[in-house]
Amino acid sequence: MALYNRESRLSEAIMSHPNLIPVVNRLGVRLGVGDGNIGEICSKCGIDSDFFLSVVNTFLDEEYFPANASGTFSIEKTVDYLHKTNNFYLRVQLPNIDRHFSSLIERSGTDNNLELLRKFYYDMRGQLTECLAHDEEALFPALREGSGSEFVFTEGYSEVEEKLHDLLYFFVEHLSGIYDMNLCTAVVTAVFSLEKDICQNNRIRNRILLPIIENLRNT
Amino acid sequence: MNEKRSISIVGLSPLKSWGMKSLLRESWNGKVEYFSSFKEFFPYAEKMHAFIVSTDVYACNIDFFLPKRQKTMIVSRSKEFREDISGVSMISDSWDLTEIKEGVQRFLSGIDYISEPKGELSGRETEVLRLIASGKINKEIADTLCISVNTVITHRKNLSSKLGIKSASGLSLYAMMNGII
Repeated sequence: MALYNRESRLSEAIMSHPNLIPVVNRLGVRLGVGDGNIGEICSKCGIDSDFFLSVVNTFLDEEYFPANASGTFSIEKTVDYLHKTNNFYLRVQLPNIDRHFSSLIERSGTDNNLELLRKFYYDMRGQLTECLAHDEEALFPALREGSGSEFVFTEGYSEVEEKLHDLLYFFVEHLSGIYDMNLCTAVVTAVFSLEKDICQNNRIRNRILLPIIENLRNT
Repeated sequence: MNEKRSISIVGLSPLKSWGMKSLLRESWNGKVEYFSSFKEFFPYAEKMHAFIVSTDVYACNIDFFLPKRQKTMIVSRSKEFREDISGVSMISDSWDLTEIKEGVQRFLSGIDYISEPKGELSGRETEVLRLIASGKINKEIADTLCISVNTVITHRKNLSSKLGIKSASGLSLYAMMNGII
């Protein structure tokens, strides 16, 4: 896919990729972006446009590796972005899935396997919550203090990604019995959204945060 | 002729080739072609999808085989080759028959030449799935079924590929939903 640059119109990027909305929010841009290009909007909002573009392009493009991430981006900016991402999972996406799942089970019959799927979801949710807690309690404080060699970069997110994939698979291929179709669509859509966000955000962790950590370890 | 399902045996002695063909026949129903040398094999190379070769043939034609290493298995005379290296499957003609069979099965599984249609689990895969669902780790599964850990890993990969499920807990849920446990 074509990469975005300072001259690209942000509104067009968002219209083409609506899943960018939470990403630009975390970067400090709210909707109602007008028709300005990315460079202008970043400048107006006091955002480092290089960092903005690296995050957006890494988020959208599997093939994209930001050049010299460790030398270009500050730890503070990167950690701040990831902290906002974690908050988004904890305060918006997970509660959203919880709510939809509960409604789905309440309004569906008992002749289905939804309770099994919800148990599977809760297991995944627990693991994701542990990963987020590790970030907030160990990784981010260590990074802010510049002690990059003292923490463990958790692999748990990859497992969460696998479990989200499996949960979707069970809904798509193995859901059985009587259930509320609209609420089921709401759950599946919310899980899809979380899976995609985590998968894309893992790229940001691996391609922007990891080089910074390695740089810290070597200095 | 279904060219995509052709495996070529290159540079093994006629007796070893015959033995290899017999082993392949046990778990794979595609076609097997035998070539005594690389020169004889080369004109047909593009039609072949996987390769079982002697160490000499591999070493002398590494430019050809290296890009195809995931679909190549070397039959070595040395007994010391116990692990696959650089993505190339290896077996030794000095191994006992059980080890050779397992090595061939791993190779076939790796190149998707298993005889069961995609989506249907073999008896052994179902056993592995049951043990995964009971919480056993690879080593315990290998000990229970008297197979190597590598073979367990291959079965797990096949399970994930056939069922479209990536995580161990997902496989357990599948086993539960389908009455396997």
